[in-house]
Formats: sequence, C-alpha cells, structure tokens
Amino acid sequence: MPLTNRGREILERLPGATFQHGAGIGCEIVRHDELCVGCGKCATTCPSGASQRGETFDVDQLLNAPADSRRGALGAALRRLARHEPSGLVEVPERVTVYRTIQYDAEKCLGCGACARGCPVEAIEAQPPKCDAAAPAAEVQPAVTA
Amino acid sequence: MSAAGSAAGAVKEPGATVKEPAAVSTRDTERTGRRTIVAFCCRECAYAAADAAANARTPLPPTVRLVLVPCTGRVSPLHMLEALAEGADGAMLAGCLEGQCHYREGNFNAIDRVKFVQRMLDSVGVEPERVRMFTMSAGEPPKFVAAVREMDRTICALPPLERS
Repeated sequence: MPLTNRGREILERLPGATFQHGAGIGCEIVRHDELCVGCGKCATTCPSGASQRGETFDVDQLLNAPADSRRGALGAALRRLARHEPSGLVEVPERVTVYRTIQYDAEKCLGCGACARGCPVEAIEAQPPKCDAAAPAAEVQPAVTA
Repeated sequence: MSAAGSAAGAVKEPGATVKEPAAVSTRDTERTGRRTIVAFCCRECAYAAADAAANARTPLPPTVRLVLVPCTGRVSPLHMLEALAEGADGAMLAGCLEGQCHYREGNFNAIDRVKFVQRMLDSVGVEPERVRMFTMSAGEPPKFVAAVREMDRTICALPPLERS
C-alpha cells in the first residue's frame, strides 16, 4: 500500500491530479526503532507532525540494538545486567534529551521522506511507492469534483 | 584480569583518566566480598575534595576506584552501565553543589542522567541504588568521605551484581 491516508487525501483535493512518482509524497515510511537514538531530528523536520518526541523511553529498543549501531555498546552492557524483560516504558527526566522513543502516527504522515533524509543514523527508510514504475494502471485517479 | 582492573579499564573514552587503585588488603577484600565501586569525580569539586581527604590521610573504603572526569556532565549512561557490566558493583557520581557547576549546568545534566539510568536498571530488575549521584564542594573533604562510605555501605549490603 504505497499511499498513506493523508497522501491520498491531498491528492483528492487536487482535481485532475495524477499520482505518478513518489519523489515528493506518498513514500512508505519504515522505521527501525532498534537503530533509533531518539534525537528527535525526524520530529523537528516533519511537516505534518506525524513524528513526535515522547516523554518516555522503551528499554526494549536499547536491548534490541545491533552491535554495530550507535547504541550497540550501551545495549550490550544493559543486556549483560538485565535480569528480566523490561517492565514497561521508562519516564525520561527533562534534561535527558536523546533517550526518547519517537511516536509515529501513520495517519498523519504525508510520506514526504523528510524524516528519512534528516535521520543521522538511518533508522528511517522512505520507500518509494511501488505503483508508479510497476504498473501504470495502478495510478491513482482522483475523482474530479464537479 | 581482576574485577577491579577490568572495572577501572571499562571506561575507554578520552577525557577521563584513571587513577591507579590503592592496594587492597586481603582482610578488606574478605569483608567486602570483592565489591568494587567506580566513583566518577568532577575535577573541580569532588576530586579536589578527595585529594584533600587523601592529604589529611583519611582512609577511604577499599572498594572505591576514583575516575577523574572534567565535569560530571561528561559521564554518559554508557559510562555508568559499562562500569557495572564490566565488573563494578556500583557506580557513583560526585559533582559540584547544585548551581555551582563550573560549566554552569553539567551537574544538573548528570543528576537527570543518573535518574534515567536508575529507572532503566529498575525496569530490568537491577537495584537502582547501585548508581547514585552525590554533590559537594571542593572544600568539603569530610562530605566526600561520607558519600563514599555511604555508597560502600549500600553496595556491601547488596548481593554481588550478577552478569550474564
């Protein structure tokens, strides 16, 4: 499903518009939370407010961090200490600015890919919609309102 | 490598120099059950206080290993967790009094980071009191010694830290 709801809504507002290539809009956003450092760059660059920095941190995110990622060493240290699975979300104090889980709302997302371009650790992928190159018949033909 | 040596060697990032641990007598080791506490000391306050305490020949608990940092704001959650993961039973931060940081707000950042690490440890089932923050001024060697002794009491009362 290449187009997000919001992307479709925008297309419907433009009479006669044809969705051809997803360079500017309608990308499918794939987030890799285990790579995310919680810096909030995606939230500051997001034009629609779909990505928001939260007040909590999911410890699972750290425990699942791959060894070669930015959080790899920290995750490995915590894995050695952990006695059981993390019990829920951890509230983050005000001055700790980077350990925050980003809340992503797919409903609001335009699929513009600004977050993927702004992400310093490549934790977000913006995959172009599959419909344009594969099958021209699958192009979105918005109903022209009279 | 002993537990103490690996704990002191746990912090590899530049900017932190490691003071050689004092010789540990066998009796003390038996009493403490080979516990180790890594104390990250701010250069401006706590380390100066530790220096003054050492000049006055005040004995410190043998468990503690001092690590000199420019400011407690330099200590990241990685330093604290890696110290614990590599052999320490506890980690303490000793910094300036609130509002007296030489870098304005380094110790406030450290206080919040310690809080965060405590919550994180708590959520995975490790006692949060293994990481603590103390504040003191350079002119208070007894306060530094009291802080280290308090930390020592806390850690010695806990079972040795298990690692996988």
